[in-house]
Amino acid sequence: MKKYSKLSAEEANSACLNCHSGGDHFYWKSSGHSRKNVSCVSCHSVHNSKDPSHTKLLKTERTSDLCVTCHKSKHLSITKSAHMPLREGSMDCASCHNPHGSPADRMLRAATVNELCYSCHADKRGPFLFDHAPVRENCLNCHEAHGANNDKVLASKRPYLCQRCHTPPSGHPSTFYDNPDLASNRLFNRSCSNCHSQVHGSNHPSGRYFTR
Amino acid sequence: MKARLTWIAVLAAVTIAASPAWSADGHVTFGSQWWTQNYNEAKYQEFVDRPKGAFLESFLMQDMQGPWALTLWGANADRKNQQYGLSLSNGVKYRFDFDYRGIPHLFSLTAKSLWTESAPGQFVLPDSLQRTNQEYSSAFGNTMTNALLGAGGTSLATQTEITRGRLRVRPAKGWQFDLTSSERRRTGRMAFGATQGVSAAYELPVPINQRTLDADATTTYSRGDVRLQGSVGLSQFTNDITKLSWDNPRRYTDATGTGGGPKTAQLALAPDNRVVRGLLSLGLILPHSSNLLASVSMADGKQDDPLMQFTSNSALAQSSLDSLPVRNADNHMVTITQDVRLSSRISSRMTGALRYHGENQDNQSAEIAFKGFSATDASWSATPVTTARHGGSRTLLGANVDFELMDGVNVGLVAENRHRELDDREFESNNENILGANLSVEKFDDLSFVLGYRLGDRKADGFDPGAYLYVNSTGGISTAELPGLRRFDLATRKQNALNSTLSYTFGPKFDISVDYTGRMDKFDETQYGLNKLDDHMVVGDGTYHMSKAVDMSGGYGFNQVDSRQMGRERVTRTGPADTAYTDWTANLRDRSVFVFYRGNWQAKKKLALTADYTFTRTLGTYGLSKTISKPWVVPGQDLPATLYRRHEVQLGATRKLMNDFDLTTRYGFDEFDVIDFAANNVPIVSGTLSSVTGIFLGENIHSYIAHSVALVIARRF
Repeated sequence: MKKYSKLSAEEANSACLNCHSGGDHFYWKSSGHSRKNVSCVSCHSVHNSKDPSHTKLLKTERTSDLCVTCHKSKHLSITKSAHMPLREGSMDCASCHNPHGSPADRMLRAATVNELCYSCHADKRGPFLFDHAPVRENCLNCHEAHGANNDKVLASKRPYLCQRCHTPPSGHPSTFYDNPDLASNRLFNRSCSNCHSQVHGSNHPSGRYFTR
Repeated sequence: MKARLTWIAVLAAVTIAASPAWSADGHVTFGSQWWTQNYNEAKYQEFVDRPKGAFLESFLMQDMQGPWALTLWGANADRKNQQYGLSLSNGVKYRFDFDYRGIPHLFSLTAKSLWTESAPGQFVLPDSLQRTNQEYSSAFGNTMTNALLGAGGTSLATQTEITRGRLRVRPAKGWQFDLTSSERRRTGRMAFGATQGVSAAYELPVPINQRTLDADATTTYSRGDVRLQGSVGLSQFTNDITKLSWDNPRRYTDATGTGGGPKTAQLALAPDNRVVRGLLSLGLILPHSSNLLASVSMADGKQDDPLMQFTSNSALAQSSLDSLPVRNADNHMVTITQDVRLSSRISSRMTGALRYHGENQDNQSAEIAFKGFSATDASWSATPVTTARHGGSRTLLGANVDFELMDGVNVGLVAENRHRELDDREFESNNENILGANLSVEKFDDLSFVLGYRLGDRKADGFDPGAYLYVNSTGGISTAELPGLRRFDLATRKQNALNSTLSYTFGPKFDISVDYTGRMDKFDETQYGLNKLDDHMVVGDGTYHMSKAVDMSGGYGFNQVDSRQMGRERVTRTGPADTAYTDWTANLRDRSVFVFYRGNWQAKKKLALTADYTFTRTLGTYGLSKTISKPWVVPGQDLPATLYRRHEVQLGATRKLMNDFDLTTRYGFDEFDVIDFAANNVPIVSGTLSSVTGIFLGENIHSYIAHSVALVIARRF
């Protein structure tokens, strides 16, 4: 008989890893959680699980409630006005991160950030005839995945987000949009995207400016 | 049909569960709810379908006796956010999981559109309206405003339905096979921009009908010190609506020149695409408590949809498909990643790890040269355009070592090098060196402290000024971007990152924890673009076990994000040429506050009370100004601040009626306040009556207050 609360993380985990070492648990030994001595029983309770399906044997009703006990900054992020449906229960942290480890950074469930995003947002996968370079580089160049104060979980309000990268010597992309421009179709609603709606990439021969 | 099947499944499950012949246990929770909102704002039901009337909140049925274990569960039955799952297993050998979930996303209940959809993705206006606007173009504003009075309302929402299945088989010791498959179907409508020119931004309720199918087969072998995993998979994205066409409100016939344009414009929506992927991983347990993990993965993505013609405007010579140099996109991207991690216990007090990550994005798409383009279908620009093939490679080499100074006190050092090679960008490469240190103290039973710091120094190399130039329609060279622009995703940058956590337990009743994360980015070589980005966040929470009957928890969080960026605009004035421009600065700031409280009180043996409160508030300011002060420079006038604020309260009282029956009454309060110049009062016709600049759907975001009351019964069996 073992008293798990008195065992070290490695000792406690060895019992579970006898059976649970394949599939999603394959990368546990080299995971960030393992290196930080998080044990299986930190998150799972075999005899008193609270998740609705009782298939994950979690200590809380929602995966996210468990994660934010340590990852507190994310507790604030997911409550911002623009967010993915984590608070509402349609997604949870484990939708994107594998808490048991993965070969990718941040224990993502895909090899790269973009591949992860494309698993749900495959319409952005392309590749497009006209790719938008920062999109191909990393979705997080423009989006804050955990939550943001700007619509579409954007890192900054448009047009300023776009003007971080677009400053031509003439023309409207570098125009200074301030208070007198409140009625401008380049400031309200979706700002630049009112016209440049194909911002993730265009498959149209006239799509170089992402308007087609 | 789906609703009927749902109810049949649920009733069957409950009936079977209640039958004495079945040895299942579980619960079912159902009730009735009423709610009201003082404004029909979509945000209240953004991701939730709130029931009005009877509802089935959740059910669970489990039978763990005998060789087969069955679990059937569900939530929010017959609602747009319903979820169901089934799990069937036979010991550790076989397991089958199936789940379905719906994710609604409601954008607006107040949008309206003059266009009607004659076929999926095809938006038409009455011919008479187009004829009138073409003939009486100066009255366009009045005509459209009057026409929009009779425009129909349209709900903007999407519904995503995800169905997943997984079969896991462990045929022999050490072996595991997994077969997974999922279908993600997205339907609905979203607002989408469809421009006819710089002063003609139109917004349409574009239909969405997309499907993504994924299938993966994984084999794992694990025996002794060796683990091996291989996986192959496929992902197919299909879009049933790949073209959006819409009648131009200003034209009944195709024309070019001043006042010209097409009768009907069109653009290309997301194309079908496919990815084939594979993964191979090896894990080895080595001497000295060492562990090696090596992985290689490959994703081969293709997209080859047929191209549309340059323009739908028949008055332009390029409206025929024969004008195109190719008929298909022929896009192809291969991404290969490699990861190697070696961790080891170097001595009794020292552990270390080495890490290598390599990533190669080989964009094998065809490089296509187009002789020009028609950005808004009104005219033809003979500026040649060649498609770019963005891609490149990344490598990361890292090492960290942790040393136990004494029991419960650890220090660590981290060193990393990140190198990026780029294809078709303004820089050839960038290189970042990162050094970091961390300290953790868990010496005392009730106190723990963690502190970490990282400094990253990234240098961008091989800037190509030619990347900011392009050949214009007359064959000359024009400037696309100011030479002083440096794009933040690649530019030279210094990054300081700090994180700290302090936790303390005051005996068995009270614990508290405070967490700080900060990141400060400076782009010193950037004249135009993002110069600085600082992100600071403090979150604290605590739990108080007041007595056996009372538990409370709560917390506070604060986040401030500051960014500074500089731009330059051309101004219209007479005078010396060097004053034809003026620089401007934006100092954006987002300040977020978050408070939560949760209380549970077992007031009596059979009565429990709960209270939940969440408050979030964000204030956004813009700090806009012109960089120089001159008589001819109109000073900048800052934008009004934007505010998003929400109070959510949930109160509940649960009475145990019998051993297996609980009755709960719930009250919910939700107050949402928004002040946002971009979203509060979006005009349906923008500009002035004599100079209309756009026609929008009018999907404003509005403040609201909502109340809900529910009576819920929980039955356990």
